[in-house]
Amino acid sequence: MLKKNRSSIVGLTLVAGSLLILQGCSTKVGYQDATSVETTTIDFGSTDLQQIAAKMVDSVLTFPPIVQVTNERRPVMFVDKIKNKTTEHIDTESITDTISTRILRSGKFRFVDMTKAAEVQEQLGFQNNSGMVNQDTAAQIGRQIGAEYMMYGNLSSIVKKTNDVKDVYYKFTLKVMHLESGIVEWSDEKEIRKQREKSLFGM
Amino acid sequence: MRSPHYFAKGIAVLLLAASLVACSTSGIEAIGKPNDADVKKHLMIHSDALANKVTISDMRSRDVGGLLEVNLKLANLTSSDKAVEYRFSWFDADEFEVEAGTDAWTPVSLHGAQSVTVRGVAPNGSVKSYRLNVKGQ
Repeated sequence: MLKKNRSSIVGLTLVAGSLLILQGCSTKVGYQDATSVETTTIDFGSTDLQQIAAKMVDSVLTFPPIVQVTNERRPVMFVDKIKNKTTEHIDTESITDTISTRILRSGKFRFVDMTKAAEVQEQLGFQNNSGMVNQDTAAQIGRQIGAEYMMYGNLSSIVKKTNDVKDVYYKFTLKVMHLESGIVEWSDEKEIRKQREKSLFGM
Repeated sequence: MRSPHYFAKGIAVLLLAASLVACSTSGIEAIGKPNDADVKKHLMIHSDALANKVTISDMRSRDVGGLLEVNLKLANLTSSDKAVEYRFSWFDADEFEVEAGTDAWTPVSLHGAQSVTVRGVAPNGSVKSYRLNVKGQ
């Protein structure tokens, strides 16, 4: 009798234990606010990108000489690549995409997209040279507007770590140059510093 | 017997004094209490734990090249540290939200009784008013 009780207790414990293990392995998927603060790891993340974009857009749109120019007209700008000088793989095009989208939606600047130059050339060639397009409706070659300003910059970082602490400092620099004169009309920086500390048990 | 002119002068002086008092209260903004109408209009606290513990004051706004620029102070009313996040919501003349969901939450740590300056620029020229959203981290 006692032996039977013991074996059933052992059996129940085993079942409960395996249930706990199975529950531990289960995953849960849920939608989150894309604009909420994200601190999953110390690496460059969405919050860093959003903070950089917000600072740069606010800064360029309220800089007095830029305000003066954009009050009169909507200048055309082209965005050069942002040089990634950090040791991480960071999609810097995503940063400039966010910045240029916000600036464009402010109604202050217009942009030319140099990443699509080859496709545009091919389409214009098709419209004008293939003989398949009614020439009354074909977009004419040589009538695109040249960019007046160029936006460019770089992202650098300094990483320091000990056994317990990792400290990352990011510096994002963005500039706007007047292409004809070569003068840098605006520049600003955004600094971000993040630190990760290991907990007591190194978890 | 005092003349009606004397009373008229007295009333004029009282009115002038009353208008001066009104000017002095609107000129200097003390740390706003969460109930103040202006604070209520421009502040939305999304965490129960922060209710009546953080507030905004010194709200200033101006037009910069057709864009609304806002400058205000976000203050911790308690003596303990508060880790909060904030973001702006922007509204047009018809109270429709403009470019909803594009402003990201910004984290900020407020020490006891500390206030920090928060600045925001409207996403485009249609914006006429704003609201600061605050929540706990």
